[in-house]
Formats: sequence, structure tokens, C-alpha cells
Amino acid sequence: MTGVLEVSGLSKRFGGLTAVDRVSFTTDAGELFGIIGPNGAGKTTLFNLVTGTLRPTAGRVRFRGENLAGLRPDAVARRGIVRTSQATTIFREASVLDNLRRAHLLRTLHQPARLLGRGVRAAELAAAEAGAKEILQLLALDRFASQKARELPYGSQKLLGLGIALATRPRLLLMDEPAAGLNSSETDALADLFRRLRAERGIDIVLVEHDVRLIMSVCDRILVLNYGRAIAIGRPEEIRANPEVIEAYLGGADELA
Amino acid sequence: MARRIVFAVLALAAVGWPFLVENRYLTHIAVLVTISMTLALSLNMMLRIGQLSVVHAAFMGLGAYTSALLSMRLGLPFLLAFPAAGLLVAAIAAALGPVFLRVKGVYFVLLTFALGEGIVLIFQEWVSLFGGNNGIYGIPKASLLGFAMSTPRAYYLFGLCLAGIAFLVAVRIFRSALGAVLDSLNENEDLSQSLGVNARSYRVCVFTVSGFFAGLGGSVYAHYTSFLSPEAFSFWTLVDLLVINVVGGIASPIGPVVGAILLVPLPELLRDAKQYQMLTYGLLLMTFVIFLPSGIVGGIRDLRRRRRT
Amino acid sequence: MLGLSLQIVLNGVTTGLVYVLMALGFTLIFGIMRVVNFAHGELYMAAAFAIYVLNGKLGWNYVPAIVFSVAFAGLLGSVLERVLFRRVIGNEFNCMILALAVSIALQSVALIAFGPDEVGAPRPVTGVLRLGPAVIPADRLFVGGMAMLLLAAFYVFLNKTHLGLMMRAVAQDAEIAALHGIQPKLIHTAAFGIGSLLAGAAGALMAPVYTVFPYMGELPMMKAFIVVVLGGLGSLPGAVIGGLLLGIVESAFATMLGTTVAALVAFGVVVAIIAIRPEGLMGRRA
Repeated sequence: MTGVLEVSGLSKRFGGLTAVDRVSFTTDAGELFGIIGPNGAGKTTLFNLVTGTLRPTAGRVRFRGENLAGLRPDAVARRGIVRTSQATTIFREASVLDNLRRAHLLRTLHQPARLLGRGVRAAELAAAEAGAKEILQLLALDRFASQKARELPYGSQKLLGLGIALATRPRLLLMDEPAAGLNSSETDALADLFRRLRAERGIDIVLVEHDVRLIMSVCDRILVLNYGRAIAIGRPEEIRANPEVIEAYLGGADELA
Repeated sequence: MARRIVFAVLALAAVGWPFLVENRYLTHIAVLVTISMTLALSLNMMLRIGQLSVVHAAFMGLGAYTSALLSMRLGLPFLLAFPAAGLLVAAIAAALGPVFLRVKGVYFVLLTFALGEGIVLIFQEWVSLFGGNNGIYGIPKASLLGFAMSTPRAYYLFGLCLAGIAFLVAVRIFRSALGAVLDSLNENEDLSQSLGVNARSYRVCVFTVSGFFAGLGGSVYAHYTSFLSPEAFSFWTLVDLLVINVVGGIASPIGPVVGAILLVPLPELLRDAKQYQMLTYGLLLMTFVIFLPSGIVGGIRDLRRRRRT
Repeated sequence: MLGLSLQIVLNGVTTGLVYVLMALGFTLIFGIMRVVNFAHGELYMAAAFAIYVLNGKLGWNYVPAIVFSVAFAGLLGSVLERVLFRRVIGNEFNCMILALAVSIALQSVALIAFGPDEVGAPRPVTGVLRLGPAVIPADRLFVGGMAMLLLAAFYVFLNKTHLGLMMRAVAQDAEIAALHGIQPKLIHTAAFGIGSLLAGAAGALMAPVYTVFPYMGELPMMKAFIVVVLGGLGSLPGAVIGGLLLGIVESAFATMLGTTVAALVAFGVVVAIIAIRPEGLMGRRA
């Protein structure tokens, strides 16, 4: 059975430093997959390898059976893998509604050739508008619709980033620490959102997180990284009880409880 | 509505004045203004996507020499040589674009600098084709469908049309969906790419269109002055175009239009003091970049926006 | 054959060392401030004119003349940074345009002051030296020797002095350096000054070898570009290796195929490198 995202033997070395060391895992369709690990374990690097932002030193990534080797980030995105990152994933100067509208339009305007002789027709603009409003409602960002993105509170900016990613109708959503900077009620809302996305839109989600509570509560399976290596993979209960994992989180052992 | 009236009046004035004011010298300068305007607009397209291209003077030269040689060696009429010049440069831009636009910022500047210098070097060294440092003399006057363009006024009107078209294209490009994508790329390229936009293709597109107009401008220049030498397409010419853009304002195509009108007549007035002209340009660039980086047009827009709020 | 090769290598190394000086200054400024100093060649020119005036016109002794000229270039660089570049440092685009503007302004000042004609600065040493079958003019050897001394001094500065270490820290990571109490602004002025000083040294040393004229900085600037692209923008060892490499390759091509071909080849190489591997041999991504 081909999984959704198949990572095999993926490695990345920067000079003498091995950031990711022969990591392998496969996600299943409809699964909420989580990746945890201490700081510097290589989680973000792993994402960068999947999205084509970085080139792997070794190993392979396949998405729905197709090899992603050597593809640039925009090509990977066109195949349905979209990520959100901790850094700016919003258009700061545009309004919230504009951000979402633009994201919808960009979805079809990947190459200039698509503009030849037609520009953007009214129907597409209307669809973009409708889609943008729908996402606004889904994420409860309606009240910010006409505000500039950079004026939003931090948590809402992150939500907007998620909204932009959703606007492109991804098949696989990679989220890098979506809960960073959110308080516990916001985090709970996020967890609910993830479940809804999976259930209502059939979007597969891979989540990198520091907030172990979130991961444990929402993910079907979890991969644990430490110093670039995969040290455990399995269901939350298994991970919780894994001695190697507990040791890796020395000092944070109570977080796992 | 008021804007349209103003625009129509200006257009009428621009077209009509050489018929009222029969001054050959002024009209001559006006021709140079329109040619510079076209070139400055072509450069502006690249500047607006954040790429400092310094090859455009050489592109102009390519268009100029191509048009001259096609009409002199192959006897092609201006009506064919003119678009051919534009298309040749566009083709070169389209061919080199995918390689050159892999890089941004200073690397792109270095690449286009190398290309520009290389092209001029070829003009200088390939004597049998381009006439070397002595250049090419006796380029035939342009003629449109039997009407020989022999007066500066004719060239002015033609140049004005060309500049007008370049202006409209520049405006349309950036207002359309293409412009929206380019704005997104400019504002947050990583995000745009992670949403699937192929940044390089878009930039190559702009590079090609800008090369096209640079070539066309060169063609008009060749048939107007009847004489070409490699010196006319050196880095200095590009600096002129850059100053026009910086002083006028990069953010809108009106900037280079205003800049050309203000700056092109200047050297004609300061004719004898070339080194003072250089110094003036240097100081102008410095002053504007530090104190008014959005140029005159941009500065006015900012002022109006501030007054509104 | 050996004689020719030796000649090519000797010529190449002496020229290459000058390129290294230029490239080091350029890449230092870029590495620390992310500024591409298009006016770098004009600092070369400024020092050359300075020594022409001091040693040639005013009759100063060579040693104080060259020291003063080099210091002048360094000071000029610092002033440019403090007054001009500091104001645009956030914006790469505006920085480049400013650098171009400074370059034009300096060239035109020189034009106005000295006219376009080429002038000669007096030679500190004359004669030729024979190294086996190869002949090398003494002044070239002198330039090469002085360049090596300067490079050694620069190396010591960067690795053993307080300021040098601070510079390296800022080049690595400005934020962390600031956390350690290092003032980036001071470092920036110093870096620009020292980078310009190196360019000035190249200019003052080369002034007697060829001629002095307002546009003389353009070619060395181009060479510095090429070296820095070869070796990598921001990499100091890259600048050294690249400079020597360029000097030798150029010497070989020029001797065997003429200077125009050498120039075109250099262009071609630059384009190829930027297109294929913009970080150069040893640099990191800009």
C-alpha cells in the first residue's frame, strides 16, 4: 500500500554537521501524523527536505508514489504539498481578505503562460472571493477581514498563515510549530480545527510541534527525532511509554505525562 | 473622470506642440526624450520586480545595430527591421533569462554587467559586422509605408507612440493578474513559491518584455541618428536610465516618464561640462536614494496619501 | 618552455596578489555589512592619485607618501560609510544604487580635478631581476612583496587583534555579536575603512607600475568582482585563492592569446560560475 508521504533513508549534512540522519517513515491516508523532538533535532530541516527548500544529501521522498527528488519548492507545492512555517507566511501589507483572495488566485497562476490571452476572468475572481470568505469563517477571522495582516495579534497571524495554505486546496499540509506562541485555549481550538480539516476536507496533516500535549491529543501516530535520528515511531500511548523518548526529553519527562 | 480629461489634454499637447512650435532643436531634444523614455520604461519593468539589470543599454545597442544592419545589408524596410530588432533582443532575453534569473540581488547585477560589457566588447571587436570603434555610418532613414521620416518631428511622433505603448504595457503588466503575482513575489517570495508560483518564469517573462522594448528603442535611435558607435551603449548610458528611474520614481511607470522629461534635456543644456554632468548625476542619485528613495512621483503619492489620512 | 611557464607564473602571482588585496577589501565589506561596494575601484584610484600628488607633484619621500595615501583611502572609506552608506544599509537595492552613485561622483571629482589624461607616478624601485630564465621587473616584485606583507598583516589583524576578532564575530552573526556587546555600527565603519584601505594599498602600489587616470579603478573593480565570484562572496580564503588563480590564468591567456580573449574568457567564466554555483568555490549564500 502506498502511503501518502514516504520518506526513506533521508539524510542532510551541512559540512560536518548531520542535521537529519537516515530518517524513514510513511504516513497513511487520512492520518494526522506528528513529529516531535528536542530543539535542534532536525524537525524543521526535515520539512525543508520534503518541500524542496533543501536538497537531501541522501535518501528519498515520495508523495503518493511520485518521487519528489530535485523538485523546487514551487513544483512541490503544485503537487499538493503546502507548508506553514514559523516565519512569515502571510503577506504583511495586504488585508486579511486580500491575503486569502490572493492565495486562491495564486493557486491557478503558477506559470505566466496561464495568463496568455485571458488574464483573470470574473468567474475566477468571484470564486476566489467566495473561497476567501469561506476560510475566514472556518478560522473565525471574519472580524479582521479588512485589517492589514501585520496588525493582527500573533495567534491570528498564524491562523491566517494556515488559511493561506488552505486556500490552495492542498492534499498534504505540513505545519511547523503551529501552536508556538498560542495559549492553551487557542491551542485547543487549533486541535479541533485539525480534526475538522481531516474529517471535512480530507486533508492529510503532518505536524511538527513542541507542544507535546497538542501532539499527543490530536495525532494518530508520532515520530520522535533526536539529533537528526528517528528514535521512535508509533501511537501516542506507545511513545509516552518509550524509555528512549523519555530520556531524550530529560527534564521534560513530566511533559509526556 | 477628471483624470481622463487631464490625460487627454496632456496627450493632445504632447502630440500637437511640434506643429505649433516649429523649433528644430527643441524637437530634436524631444525625440531623444521619447527614446530615453522608452528605454527607461523598459528598465523600469525590471526595477519594479526588484532586479537591478544593467544590461539594458547593451540591449538597446543590439536593437540598434540589428535594425541598422538589416536595413543596410539586407535592404529590409524599416517596417520590418524595427520589429525584428525588438524581437531579436526579446529572444536573447528569453534565452538567457532562465539562466540569469536563477539568481537575484547583486549576483544578477554582476551577470547583467558582464553580459552588457561582453556585448559592447563584441561591438568593438567584431569589426567586419559592427564596424568596431568607428561604428556604422549612413543608416538609412526610416520610412513608414512610403512616408519617409526625414524630419525630427516625424521621429518625435513615432518615438512618442512607441513610448506611449511601452507605458501602457508597463501599466497593464502590473495592474493585471500578472502584476498581482509579481507583487506577491516581491512582497513575500518564499510564500508565493510555497503556494506554487514559479518565480523564475515570471521574472523571465518580464525580462523578455523589457528586452523587447529596449530593442525597439534602439532601432528608432539608429534610424534617427544615422550613426552608431559602441560608446553610445556603454554602462554610462545605463546610468542615465537608472538616474531617470530613481529621480522619477521606480514604483510607477509615470516615474520614468517624468524622469525622462526632466533629465534628458539637462545634458543638452550643460553640453560642455561632461564631467560636471557626471558629478550631477552622481549627486542626484545619492540624494534621491537617501532622502527620497521613492522618487518624485513616489514622493508626491506619499504626500497625497499622508494628507488624506 | 620552463622559462615561459615560470614567467607566466611570476607575472600571474604578482598581479594576482594585487587582485587579492582588492578582492579581500571588497569581500570584507560585503561579509560584514552585506553591502556591495561598487565604489571600491574608486578608492583604489583615490590612493593612486594621492601618491601621484604627494610623491610625484609635491616631492614627498616615498614612504610617508604611500603611508599617507593608503591611510587616506581608508579614511575616505570610513567617511563614506558613516555619512552615506549607513543610511541605506537595510535595503540592498538602494545600497547598490548608492554605491554606483558614489562611484560616479568620485570619478567625476577626479576628472574635474585632474582631467582625463593619464599621468605617471614615480617609481620607487627600478630595474629588472633575473630568476633563472625568467625576467621580472623590480617594481612588480616590489608590489608583490609589499602585497604579501600587507596580507600577512591583515591575517594577523583578523585573528589576533581585538577588533579583528570582533569583525569576524559580526560577519558570522550580527545579532549574536550584538548580544555580546559588540557595537555593529563601530564595526561597520571599521570594516569599510579597512576594506577601503586594502583597495587603497593596491592602488598606491600599482600607481607607478602603469598610469594614473580617473577611470583606472574600473578594471581592478571588475577583477575584484571576478575573484570574489570565483572564491565566493564573503569568503576571505576564497578571495585569496581566487585572486591568485585569476592572476595566473589571466597571465597564461594574455601571454598566449592576447588580452581581449583573456577578457572575454574572464566574462564567460563569471557568467558560468554565477549561473551554476553562485556561492563560488568557497562562499556561503548571500
